[in-house]
Amino acid sequence: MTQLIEFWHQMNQESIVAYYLLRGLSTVAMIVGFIGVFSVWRRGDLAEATRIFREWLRAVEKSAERRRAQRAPRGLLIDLCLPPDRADDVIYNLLSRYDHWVEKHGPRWARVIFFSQSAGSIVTFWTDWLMKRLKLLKTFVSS
Amino acid sequence: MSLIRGKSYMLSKLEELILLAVFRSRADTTAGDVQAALSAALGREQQFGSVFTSLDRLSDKKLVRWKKGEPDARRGGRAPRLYEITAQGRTALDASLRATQVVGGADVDALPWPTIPVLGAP
Repeated sequence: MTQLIEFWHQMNQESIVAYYLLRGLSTVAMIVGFIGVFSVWRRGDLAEATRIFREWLRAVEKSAERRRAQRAPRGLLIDLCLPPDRADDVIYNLLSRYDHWVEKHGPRWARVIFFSQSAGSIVTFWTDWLMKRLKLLKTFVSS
Repeated sequence: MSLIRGKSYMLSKLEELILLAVFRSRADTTAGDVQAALSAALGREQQFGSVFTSLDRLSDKKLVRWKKGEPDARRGGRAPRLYEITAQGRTALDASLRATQVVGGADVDALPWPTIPVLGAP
């Protein structure tokens, strides 16, 4: 929550306007697309309506994918699953390697590697945490 | 195996490589630097999780120490841990590398290092 508030503080006036403008434009595009598909469907040409709907969906998907690929992941999963101090270190290090992965494997694979490394870090951290506790418990039980 | 303050520590191969990477990078090494060095050496992407866990264990054994670095805006405003090898870490690394060479058939007397030192011993 604190990060969200900080994020809003960091955003300047121009970027807020640009954000809402983009949101507005995409909403208008969605409504126009829906009306287009609906009107063709009303005329009875179901095959044409399906084709337009598919193309529209593909365009929306491609645009979303392009937007996703342009920015580095934020590491929300790490923030949720690791203690704050450790999460900071993990995200810093993963982001420092992210550019290298993009250069070597492309944005799509770089994201896959980022998420697999994130998941691996979380699983390893908690496994190690559990093993330490079990070892401690074993010491108490055996003594 | 090296003896440090009367305790014996057997370094795993990964721990040895990590200690070596931290030692070669001198001060202010991040886990990312270590992972990059290991990935380049092994020819495949090393798991970050194992690097973090090994660095934690080395830190518990006081073979490395870390301090908090400055937050970086390009990295999401996060502050990394900066690792540095300790004197005990250096000793353990020397002993481990020496043991590898001795087991590999190297002549003990010809090796440049002295006999395995014991820190904290009189």
